[in-house]
Amino acid sequence: LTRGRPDLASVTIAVLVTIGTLLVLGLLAFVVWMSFARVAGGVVAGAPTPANYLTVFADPVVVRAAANTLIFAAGTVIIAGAFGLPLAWLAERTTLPGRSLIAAFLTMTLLIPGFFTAMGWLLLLHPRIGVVNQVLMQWFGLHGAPLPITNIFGMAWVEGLTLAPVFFIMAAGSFRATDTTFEEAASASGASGFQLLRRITLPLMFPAILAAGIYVFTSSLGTFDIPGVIGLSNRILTFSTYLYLKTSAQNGLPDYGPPAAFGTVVIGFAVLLGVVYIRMLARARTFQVVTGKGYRPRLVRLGSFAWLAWAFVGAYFTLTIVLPLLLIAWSALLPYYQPPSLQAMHLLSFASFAHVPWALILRGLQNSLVISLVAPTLALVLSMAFSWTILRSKLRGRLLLDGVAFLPHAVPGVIFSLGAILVALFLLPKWIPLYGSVAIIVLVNVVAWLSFGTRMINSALIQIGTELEEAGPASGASHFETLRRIIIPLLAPTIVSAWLWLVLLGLRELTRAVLLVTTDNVTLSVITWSMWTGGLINQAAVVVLATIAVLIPFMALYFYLARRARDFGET
Amino acid sequence: VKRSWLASLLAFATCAALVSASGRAADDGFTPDLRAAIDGANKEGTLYITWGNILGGPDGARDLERLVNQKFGTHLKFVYTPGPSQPEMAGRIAQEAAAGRPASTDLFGTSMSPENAGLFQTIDWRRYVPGMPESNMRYQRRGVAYATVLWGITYNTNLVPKDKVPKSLRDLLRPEWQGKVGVRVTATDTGFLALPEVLGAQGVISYYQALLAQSGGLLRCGSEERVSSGEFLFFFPDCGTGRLLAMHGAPVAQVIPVEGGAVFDWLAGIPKNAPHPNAARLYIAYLLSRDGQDFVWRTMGADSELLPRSKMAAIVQSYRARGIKIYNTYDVLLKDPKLVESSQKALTALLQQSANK
Repeated sequence: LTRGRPDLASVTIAVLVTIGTLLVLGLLAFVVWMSFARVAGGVVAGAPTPANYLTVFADPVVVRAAANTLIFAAGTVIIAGAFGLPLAWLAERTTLPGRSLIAAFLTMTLLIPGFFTAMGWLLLLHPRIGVVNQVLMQWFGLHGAPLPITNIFGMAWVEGLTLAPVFFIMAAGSFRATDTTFEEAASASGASGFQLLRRITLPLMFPAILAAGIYVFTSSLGTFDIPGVIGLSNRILTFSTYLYLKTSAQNGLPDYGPPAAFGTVVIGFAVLLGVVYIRMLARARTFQVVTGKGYRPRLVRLGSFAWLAWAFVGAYFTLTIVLPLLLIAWSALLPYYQPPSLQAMHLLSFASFAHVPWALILRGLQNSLVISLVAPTLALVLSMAFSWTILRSKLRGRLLLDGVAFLPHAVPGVIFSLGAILVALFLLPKWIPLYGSVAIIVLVNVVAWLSFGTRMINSALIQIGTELEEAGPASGASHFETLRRIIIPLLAPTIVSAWLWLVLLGLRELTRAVLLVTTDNVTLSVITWSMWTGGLINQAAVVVLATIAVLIPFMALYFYLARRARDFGET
Repeated sequence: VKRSWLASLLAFATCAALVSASGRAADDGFTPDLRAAIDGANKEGTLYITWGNILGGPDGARDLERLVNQKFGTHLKFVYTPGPSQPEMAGRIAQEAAAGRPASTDLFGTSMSPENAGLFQTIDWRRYVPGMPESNMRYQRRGVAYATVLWGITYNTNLVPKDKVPKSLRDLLRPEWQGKVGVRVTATDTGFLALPEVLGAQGVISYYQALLAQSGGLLRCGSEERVSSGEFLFFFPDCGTGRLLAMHGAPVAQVIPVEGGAVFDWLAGIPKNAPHPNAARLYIAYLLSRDGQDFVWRTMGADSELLPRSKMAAIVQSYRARGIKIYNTYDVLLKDPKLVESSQKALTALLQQSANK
């Protein structure tokens, strides 16, 4: 990759980059190919045909699902922005006491699986069993539920709450890095705090806000968690639940053609959004300054409004974690679900815990742990190879590789799952038992996380001066040794932090796994979801509590390492 | 002399061993096929069960592992996985078979139909359960009935006032129940509704169109808890398994509409591509035994009306004694397969369209 005779490091990197590229493009290409294929009797047969596209565009279910998906994704952006943006401003640009805790709270929120929150919100705002609706109907003598969650807006509300931390992280980074010269000038000219925010800060932030919005939009396009829990049984389909239904046929063989055609349309749309996202990000960077040690952002004094700000933070935390989890704990203590009431209090017991299928949970946990430990490791190894090639090599067309690495973010993960199933069933020979294995979920997660991994390592690698790498060969070290003894140790904090983050995401992942699981590779999140949809509500609730117990040590480790890294940075 | 004495002793020992072995075989009451299945199952060691809340879900699988091993002297490990509805599972089995992969379950638990019956092994279950009536086997012996469930309307007894409990199918269409009816996600065993004396071929389609416009969502069998919780006030056509929740004090009950109810048998089958077919045979053979039928009653509130000492048979008889018409869905299918098939096809299409309101 570097000029000169190829050595072991260069060859290894080249092999890894080739594998990564083949995985990303191969899975997508197979979905596109399948969209033109005729499937008869469960096998691909006949010449390519546009029939699947004609079926998809003529099907009113698909048209409604597509409209629902767009409304759902747009609503999610609005809700995530409504919480994430003010929270980022409070954390980065105000004198709010204890504001560093906001980031910790939000990180914790992001790590609680979205479908747990959705289950809790159903129990809160369902038109008939939702506690809040019942109380409001009793108090005001209403005949209908005033706040029903079983609609596309309710789904967007919950998804927006769960993705607000993503908006927060992206906006906070921008608030931190944006040039304050204009703000100082406006302030010197007598502008009030509100005027400053409205006329200077927000316009400067606009490209970054737009980029965050597009990021959240693409994340929610293919998500399964909330549409699966709230939408599926209430007859509201989105893209991911449509794919799920179509690949789980009720009569005869699953028809993979139409979902592949729908998936191809979404791939095209997502790639377009990805291009806009990259452009917005580039524009956002033009408003940033390389901050030296003397850089201090201008902080707004909140004074007596500080309590109001904390009330806002508390409300977000309560809505996203406390209330849903309380309702889940309530249902775990009941033999069969009943809305909270004095009468139902008599039924509370720990009997559900005695009936918990621990063998099944341990099997799910084992698979989840394997997936969440192996996939991040492989994803980061591939990411390092990609980042190194993109930033350090002189390979022609290396920026295209950056595009390949970014694709898994733009394209919904559920499409990669579809591609993996199709490859496992139709392409691979029978002696490669990928279908129904833990490896297939690992593989899809590796692909899906390549984007995150390369973004993290790219930004860390940029900060490492090339003279350090040049010092290695100058002292007689091989490229491999330079990589092992200089570059990897310097990247270690970023790698560990990214790895732990992906481990936590892996333990909660449902969207990609739900299409891929069978008996041998069932995960904890799919067990919970299957129990919930199969009518085992209290047992599903117990599994939720067990999963959170598993997540806690990993979260603690993540926060501990993040704190150590910060302390190290400060010293 | 010594040699002949030794030979006699050896012959005696051999005869004694044979007599003892045949005595044991006679004692355990196992048929040769069952014994062969036990041997095969011991080699397989495992049984995959993938379904939702059927036969007690995960709890039931754990209990049955103990009971089956106790009865047959095996050391099988039951691997239960919560899975999709059984009709969806049939689709998955079909895809796995077409791709030449082993099935992800060894057992199929409920909705065998003419469309999916070909996926399952043909087995004469009387060779495993002597005395079992031929009528328990269906679809050229690909499925065997282990539970009879009674089809009707499950409702929430707390939220539906006594005077408003539906008496007929039309009562479910009353405006006050808009959005509160959960409709079963599949049209399995609804063919009898198309009989001229019930709703008729066109009538059932019009009725389902109105019902789906009225419904709040689609439910799987085993989802009666969503009625007891109040999420839905009604589940129709139910799967007849709400009785179990009612037995545990949950606020649900079942009503049979005046148009008539129906009994349908849940059929167990073993996929042709099952990875552990012998273990699956033992599982089903146990369900068909008296102990097994008691287990089915405890976990589902139902047993097979065709087997001796059935509690379900008494319940069905009590309805019939009160003049309520109870159809047998399998008999209806045999009598008029075209009518049943076309009606179920039309209803399935309606259900698929209504998956997105």
